[in-house]
Amino acid sequence: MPRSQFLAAFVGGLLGLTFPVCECGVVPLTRRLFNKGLPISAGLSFLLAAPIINPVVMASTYAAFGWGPILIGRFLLGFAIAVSIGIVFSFHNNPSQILRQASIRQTEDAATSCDHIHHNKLPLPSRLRHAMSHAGEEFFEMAPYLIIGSLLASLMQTVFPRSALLSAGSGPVLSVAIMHLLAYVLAICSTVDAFLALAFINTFTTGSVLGFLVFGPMIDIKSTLMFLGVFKQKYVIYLFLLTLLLSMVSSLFINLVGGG
Amino acid sequence: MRSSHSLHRRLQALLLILMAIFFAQKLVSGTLYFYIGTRFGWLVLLAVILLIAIASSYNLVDQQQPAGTAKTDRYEGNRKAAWSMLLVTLPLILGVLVPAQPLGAGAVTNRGFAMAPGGSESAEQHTLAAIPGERNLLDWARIIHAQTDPTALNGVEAEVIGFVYRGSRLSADQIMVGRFVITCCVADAIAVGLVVQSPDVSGLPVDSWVRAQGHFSEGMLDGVPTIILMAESIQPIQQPEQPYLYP
Repeated sequence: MPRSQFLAAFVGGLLGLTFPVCECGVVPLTRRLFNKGLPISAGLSFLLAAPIINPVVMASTYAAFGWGPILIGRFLLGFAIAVSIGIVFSFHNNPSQILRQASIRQTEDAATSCDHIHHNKLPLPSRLRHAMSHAGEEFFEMAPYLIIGSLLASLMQTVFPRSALLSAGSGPVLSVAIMHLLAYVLAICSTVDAFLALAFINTFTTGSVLGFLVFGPMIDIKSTLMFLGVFKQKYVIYLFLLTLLLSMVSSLFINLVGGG
Repeated sequence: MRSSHSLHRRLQALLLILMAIFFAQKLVSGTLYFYIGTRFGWLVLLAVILLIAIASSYNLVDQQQPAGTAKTDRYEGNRKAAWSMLLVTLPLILGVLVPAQPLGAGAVTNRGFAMAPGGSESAEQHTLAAIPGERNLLDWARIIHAQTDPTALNGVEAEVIGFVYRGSRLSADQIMVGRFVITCCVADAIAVGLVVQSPDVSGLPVDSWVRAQGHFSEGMLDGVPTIILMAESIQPIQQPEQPYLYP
């Protein structure tokens, strides 16, 4: 990983190409990478970019929209926003300021109690058993956040009047707000959201559909809960507001300058 | 404190085993596919195997709390572990108590029917290449969506299967016959539907499954000329084993 925070954020934004994960899988993975010493800038740009900049999402977006402004816009915008936020957070490069203490200490505990160096000397079956045991601990650490997030997302899927909202407005400004709200509450996996977005492309502005495809994979109601398992609450709020702001401004810019 | 830590690990192992049994039961009964796409069945099978492997490792690896952990930290750790187990138990309880049911007419109320069902270019080609007698509701919905002339399909015969939906825009002799289309899981489900018209639709209960056979014709939906399936026969049927369609 490059020493320069700018370069680290840039590389972090491209790491998704080697880790094809969606917005649920990326959170525990980033948490582990932070534990292994990944700089905050690279970790954050990876966290936000990986659910977009990865081969599976590229393929599904291409299948839905073909080669064109939505495909190119999704990846350029997703990358630019993720790297920008990585750089912004790099000014706080003390992990203990941003990450939850429990997450950091938990790894130190695991290191003391299990002696990872010793693991390497164990026969393969014992190493596998230890790997499974660690996987279990990771599961019980992150599952509560995922379960509460999924409960909230399914509640929204059930009671949120999607059709009423979709008919509320498709102007250049209102459409951007509606599509960002939908992306947040519906919490649809980034690997398939392009197919759903396809249904909106004829009635909603290009900028708003791009916003749906960029903002949703970065932060939704489910991943916000999972972020709370990794970051301090204050930084989850910063992360949410900054991502929302950048995505909405970019979508509005596309609508107003590009003619939507 | 060692004993409470050990108890937590035993309870966690039990929860993992219960979760594996729950998923295995859903997989064997087929109700798993009320929630996720059929192509992900193998992943759930893999999850069952891994959950059992993880639970087994709990009995074989003696994971101790680190020596010298402060009493308050141990208390905090136990409290967190208890909450974590409680929350992991929640979906298991809900999954057992709430009967497995696919999305139906109730879910259309807040989602609405899709005007342009999502699909790839190859899916569109597949639709057009499909033999008319083998076209399903999604194929017909795509074909109808592509038409600008409401008389374009006049006289074309079709047979579709779906659930009954009634909306305020439909007249007394009209129903929507709908299906949900899923790509990955029910979170991305999109409803597609056809307006079916027949004097026989009045007694059909909402959300019951029907097979409608007839021919397309220009009709009126809420005063707007629309392509409508004029049903010559409409029969109640059992819910299909696979209620969803895949793009």
